[in-house]
Amino acid sequence: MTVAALAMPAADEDLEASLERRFPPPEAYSHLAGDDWPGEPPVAADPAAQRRFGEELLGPIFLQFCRRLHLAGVGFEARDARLLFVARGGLRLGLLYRLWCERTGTAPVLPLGDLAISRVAAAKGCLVHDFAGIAPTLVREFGAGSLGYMLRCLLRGRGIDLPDVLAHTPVTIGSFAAIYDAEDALGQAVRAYFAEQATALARYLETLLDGVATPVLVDSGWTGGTQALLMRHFPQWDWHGLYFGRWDYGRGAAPHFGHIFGVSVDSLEPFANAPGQALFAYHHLIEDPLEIAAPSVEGYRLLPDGSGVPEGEPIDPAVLQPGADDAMFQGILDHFRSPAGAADFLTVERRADAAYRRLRRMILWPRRAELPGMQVRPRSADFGRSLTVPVLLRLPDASLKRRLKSVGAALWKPGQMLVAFPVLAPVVNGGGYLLRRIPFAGRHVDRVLRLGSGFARRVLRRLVR
Amino acid sequence: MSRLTEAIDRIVRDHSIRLLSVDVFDTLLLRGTRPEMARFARVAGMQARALAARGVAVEADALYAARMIAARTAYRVIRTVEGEREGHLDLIFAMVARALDLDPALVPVLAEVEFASELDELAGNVPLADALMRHRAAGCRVVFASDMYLPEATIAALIARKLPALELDGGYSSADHGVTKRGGGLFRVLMAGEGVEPAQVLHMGDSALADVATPRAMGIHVLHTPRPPGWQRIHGLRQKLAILHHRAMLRRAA
Repeated sequence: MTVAALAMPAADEDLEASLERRFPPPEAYSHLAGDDWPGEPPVAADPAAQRRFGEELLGPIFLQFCRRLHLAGVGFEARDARLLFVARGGLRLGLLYRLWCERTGTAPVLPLGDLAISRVAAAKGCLVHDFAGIAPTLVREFGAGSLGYMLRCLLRGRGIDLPDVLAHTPVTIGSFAAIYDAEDALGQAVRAYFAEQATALARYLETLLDGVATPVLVDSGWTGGTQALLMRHFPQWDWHGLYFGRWDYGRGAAPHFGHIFGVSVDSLEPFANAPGQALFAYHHLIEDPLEIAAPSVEGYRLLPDGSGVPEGEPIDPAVLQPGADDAMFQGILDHFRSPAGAADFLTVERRADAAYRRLRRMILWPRRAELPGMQVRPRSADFGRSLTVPVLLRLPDASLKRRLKSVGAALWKPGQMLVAFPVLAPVVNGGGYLLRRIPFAGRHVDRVLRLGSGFARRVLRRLVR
Repeated sequence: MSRLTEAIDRIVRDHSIRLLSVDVFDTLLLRGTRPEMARFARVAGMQARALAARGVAVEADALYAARMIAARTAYRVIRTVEGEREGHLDLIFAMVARALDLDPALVPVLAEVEFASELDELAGNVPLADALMRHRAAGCRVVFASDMYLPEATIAALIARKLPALELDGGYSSADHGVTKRGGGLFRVLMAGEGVEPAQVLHMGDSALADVATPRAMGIHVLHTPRPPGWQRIHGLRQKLAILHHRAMLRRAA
């Protein structure tokens, strides 16, 4: 591959627009691949209902999180620790924690700060030190698309053009390595970019963590992939994570899980907070209200004085406040600002427990009337990609195949079940929910439900064929 | 002579054992069938009364709930030692005090009540203590090793109160060292402290993992001393009842 092979953008478009046109996001990235799902959701969101939902259910849950976060902070006293709220989702957790401190007259147990990072930014900043370790992560994330699309996402805004042939080059460790190791202009540009990322990230952290031995990351969750990268490549700090939830996605504990604590829910503690486990069936209820209207940190840049800063404009604190489509978060703030926001420890725990129990029923066995208040905004894909995925899918036709596929593809399956099979949903959702309510049967019920759903899927697939 | 003491005698005789290490809770000191959650609830009631006697009004349910959450949290956030971590009562009570806005000066009161409650719950395993004393008299060193949030001094005091005739040469608690028997770190500390090789140690205890599998994998001689099946069944049943009680406590006037 040579510089001459690089396709030039059309005369009337800038490089970024040209790259976007020539390396579009592949259909295959979407788990809805091959279907033409209408853009509008099947049930319109009702901001008033969302705000009520936020106040009555999410409010007590986030309030409990703040109290427990404060408690967990005691464990880091005298360890030169700092609580770092991780952009983006963690920033609103920071807003809530500060609000709780203010409402109750509590002094934060640790110094507070913010950390501008994302999984893609951390991966970029660590790649140069550990290509073999990090390249598979990038390849896994972009594996269904073209190498051109992956490089376009990773190198966004750097003015590096890509040859058209990359639009048809599959993403493999080998193809990425071939570009990365190449001695041509593109290879050098890519290596230089990742080297700069490494230096800029290191400088950014050195400045941010001056005098800190134990950075304690606060975020919504779930697996701590970013923290794992930081732990591996910046071992001079004793990294810890206090996340809303810790979730192993059924894959078992990762080595860095010992440094992550699911403050509110934890998938590896099935009996610790049983009703809260339902959140793993619709974790977007936690993530969406924390979503702010600001771009994700996609990398770092070096300033002339040698310091490193996150790329792009600093996040405006105003975006932490609820916007026009932030009814759920507004509801959460309503709860924090109500007298309940200053309640004592036991009251907060009891209200959160009641909210979790109600929420469990609503997530696993939703009713039609509850959908408008529980529906979150379309979720954006991670890792520098620009896709959005709706939580509930409108059915373009009523074929059985389409309805089955929608349930399999939806981000909130019991909710989609209600949309796709309104008559059958109460039986399926209700049955699963009631089985899960049997005391001390959780693990057995999970196994039965897994086997049952696998069997049903096989039978239905055969029927559809 | 019981089968347990016969087994100890046989292993000590056949393997040139120089150090006897014994687990404490449910081995040297025997608990009733009350599970941990129920013990915490009972202790919380006692602590609430002790605080009330000092003019501090705190609900027993609040003390219990705070203890449960503090215990869960402390085990996850305490500093790791060689990749392991263990809770410590001091941290747990510091968290409880912070959760309930209690004066930190009251933490010793909470600890005293905990000690009194443990004393009330425990009974000494006299036959085992007799066997240990015999071997100590014959030249073996005897130490305890416990995976527990209580510090060594507190555990030693509990043993002294329940088995006053038993003299020990030392003790090791995971709370103080930050490493555990189940992870193997506490056995390494113990062997280094006592200057012995694994093959010279006989460890006995009730936990299949912490007292048997881990030390055996390290080359230590082990003797499994599980609680009787009937005890385990009742304990398991009471554990389930304690969970139901816990849920009922949370639902009270939510």
